[in-house]
Amino acid sequence: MSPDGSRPGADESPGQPLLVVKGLRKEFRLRRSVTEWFRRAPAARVAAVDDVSFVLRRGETLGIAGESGSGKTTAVRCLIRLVEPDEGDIHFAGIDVRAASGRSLREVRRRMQMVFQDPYTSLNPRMRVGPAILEAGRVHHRPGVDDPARFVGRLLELVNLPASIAAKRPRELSGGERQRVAIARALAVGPEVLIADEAVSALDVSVQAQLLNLFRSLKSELGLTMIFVAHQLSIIAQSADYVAIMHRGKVVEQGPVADVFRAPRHPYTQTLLAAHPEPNPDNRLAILNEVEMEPSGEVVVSHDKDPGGPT
Amino acid sequence: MGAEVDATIGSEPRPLLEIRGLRVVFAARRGRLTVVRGVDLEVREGETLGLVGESGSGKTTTLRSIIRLLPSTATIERGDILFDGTHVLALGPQGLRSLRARAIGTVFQDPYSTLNPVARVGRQLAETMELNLGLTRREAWARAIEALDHVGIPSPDRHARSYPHELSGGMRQRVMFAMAIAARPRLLLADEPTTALDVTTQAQILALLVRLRRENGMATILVSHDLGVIAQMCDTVAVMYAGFIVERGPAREIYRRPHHPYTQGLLRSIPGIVPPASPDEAHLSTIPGQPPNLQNLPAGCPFAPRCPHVRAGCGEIDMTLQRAGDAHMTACPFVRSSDVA
Amino acid sequence: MATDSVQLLPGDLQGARSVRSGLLSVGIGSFLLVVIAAAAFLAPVIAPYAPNKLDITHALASPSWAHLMGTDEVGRDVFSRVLYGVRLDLAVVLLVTYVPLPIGVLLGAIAGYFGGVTDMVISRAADVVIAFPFLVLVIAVVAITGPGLWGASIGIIVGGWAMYARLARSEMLVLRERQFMLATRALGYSHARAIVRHALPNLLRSSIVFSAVDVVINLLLLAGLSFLGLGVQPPTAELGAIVASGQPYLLTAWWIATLPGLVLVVLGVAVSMVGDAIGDRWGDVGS
Repeated sequence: MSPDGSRPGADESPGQPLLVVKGLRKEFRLRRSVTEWFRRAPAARVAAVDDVSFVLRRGETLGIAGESGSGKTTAVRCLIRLVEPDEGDIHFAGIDVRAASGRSLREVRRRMQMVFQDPYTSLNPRMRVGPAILEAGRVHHRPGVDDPARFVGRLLELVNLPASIAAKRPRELSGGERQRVAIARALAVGPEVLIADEAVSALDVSVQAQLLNLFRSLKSELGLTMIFVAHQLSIIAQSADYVAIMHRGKVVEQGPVADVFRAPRHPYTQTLLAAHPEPNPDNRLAILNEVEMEPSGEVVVSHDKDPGGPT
Repeated sequence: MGAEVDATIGSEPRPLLEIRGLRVVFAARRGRLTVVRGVDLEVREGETLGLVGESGSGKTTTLRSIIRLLPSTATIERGDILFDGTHVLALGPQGLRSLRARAIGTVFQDPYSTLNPVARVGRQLAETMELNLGLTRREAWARAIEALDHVGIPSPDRHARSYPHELSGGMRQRVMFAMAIAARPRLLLADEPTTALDVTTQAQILALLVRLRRENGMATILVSHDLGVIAQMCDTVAVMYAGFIVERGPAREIYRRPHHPYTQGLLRSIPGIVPPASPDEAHLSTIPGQPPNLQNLPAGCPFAPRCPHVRAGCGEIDMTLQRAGDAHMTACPFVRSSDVA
Repeated sequence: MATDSVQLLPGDLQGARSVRSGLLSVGIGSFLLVVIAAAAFLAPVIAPYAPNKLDITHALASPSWAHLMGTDEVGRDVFSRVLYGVRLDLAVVLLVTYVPLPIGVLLGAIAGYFGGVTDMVISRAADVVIAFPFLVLVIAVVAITGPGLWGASIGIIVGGWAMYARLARSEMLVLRERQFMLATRALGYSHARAIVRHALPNLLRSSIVFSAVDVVINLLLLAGLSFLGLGVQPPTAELGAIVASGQPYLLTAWWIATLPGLVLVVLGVAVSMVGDAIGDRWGDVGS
């Protein structure tokens, strides 16, 4: 049930493909140095997102895991066109997202909401919590918005914040509280999909756990479908049903979380899992116990990895 | 005199670093902020101590106090810091400089705060060596290249001519390490050295640290909020909360038999890498409430508002550490753990 | 980096000593400002003489209890003229500084937000204005309007918006990438809403801090223009004009030029002190 009490339609049953992405591609052109400019050398291009495809089904949580430079954030920003993709198909509930404009694009953005990473900059520092949440509801003419106190109060309750928070400004709140407010604001427009772009990465461990539980309960209470972008595999392991592992713009492996994590097939996935520092002093990474180490100290992966390049 | 006293029985070598009763206060606009509230620590030769805690725990300030690298708004109000018998807090500028240059090396989270973005990397490293080791320019440059090679930077002569922004995050950290250990310090202070790095790069850097500390016989203090990294790297662990040390002991003890409720809660809330087998297992155990507000701490134990075992006496305890096992200390007089599997 | 505690902003961790010196300068600055502004406001009430009352018999009288700042060459009481002059100056300067501010900030915000052609047009316009030697600009405007207060004011306004536009534009370029601005797009807010409701309140701070400096600059500008005869026309009392009229008498009746000049300086310093303190307090601009 959405915050406004409406139920999903009959043909929107769980398990149906909700978001279909095919061949997504986004390139950035690097700035040329002065000498390159003189020589008129063509600007080097970097494919931040390179032929990415996946399907998100209603009611499930897709985790997108990758390190810096993997393209995961660029990819999800393409989904709601915060970044304009160069190529590819994005179909959300049958709507061609890339072709949408004006009102239809706004509607797509209403139904697919994003929570950002940095709790310190994702809220307008000049706006109090209540008005920020209310504004979201007003702009999209959400039911219940004519009773502001109740509208805001209900959303704050959903994210386990006391109603008194509505009068505060972001700087008076802790990181975890701010993220909850950001979630409440996103929920205010009544989305079907929630994209959490590293939404817990900047938080303390104890607060992270609270937020992950919150996401889980919101998902079941509101029937949300979720995309979880994270660089920490453990977060993905605990929150996602399916996972897509990204490396340098490509999806190198995807599948049900249990399968991928227990029996990873791609060498990069294996490396990622092997490098995870387990909080158990009795099980130290083999890599750390190596008496003989490569002079370069490099981790060897079977595909090309340039140790000298910039990240 | 009769029998010779075996010098090793019952006598322990003096610790390399001792901190006693450290109290650090910041002057904030709205009053004073006591960030470190009475910390006792020691580190022995060759030992790696992990300082773990969340925001507001005071772990970074504690670390920086050791070499007195605090902002002007901070004052060390109380306490003693003894490095190899020298009172660090009594050192004059010359002595402090020598301490920082030769005896204690430091690596920070953000290389940009130590690396000059407009100077080539090799030059910066060589300069440190010129100053601290008294080498000539030529010797220093050669040593710098060696050092870069030693910390695992490929094609060191080429990369020595690079600027910091031209290097990857992992490479920058390697340069930081090279600078920190250039004078073969006996103690290395590392403040979240891998937090900004990818997990694969982190593994490499941690491996590097393992190698370096073994080669140099260095003691290390590693500050991190990442309990995984601490578990992998440390012999001893001290857990901090709101400016206090709440638990301290050998790493295995802390992770297997945490006594303090905060440590217990923290360990339980770490998401594991093994996906839950069923939806019921999916719920993460959490520590309720918010991180401590340093300007408004309750009397007695600062963790009481969030503690599942809170009771009437919590407001009166003074947070001194009590023995709870072999070299295992906790600040909570009421709670002990049964084995946490 | 995990940082979950309530964020301490730069203003919070100001050391105790600098807080004290900050308070001192705010204190002195505001005190002076209030005194001068009050005096100016109450000019009609407290001025001992009408500013344009001639009294040739007492011309060039040195300061005395009857005439606190002496009289000028036609016997007008300098002190009264100074009071009315400050009144005029303050009013005009506030107008001339705070009319271009919102215009400039809005234009700059729009330029920074949209980029592309819009940015180019607005930025080039601002560049032209800034590149013009200011006096030439004012003279051009005055040539159209005729000399006088209006001409000078319009001239300063036309020249003044460009700085604010530039300031706001460069801040907007940074602000645009902040996550709460991205959120306005993700939430489907219109551009107008994003700029006016969300960006502007964050952009105004730095412009307001700058405006303190601008006030001082404009004050001196206005005085300078009147001194040159381009601004206020005689017999209107205005600080610069009074200084100008006292120039020929510098060696004989020094008080006509010097005392009003001193008042000008004190006013400028007071505004600067207050501006500095505001700047320190709002040091988190951009964070």
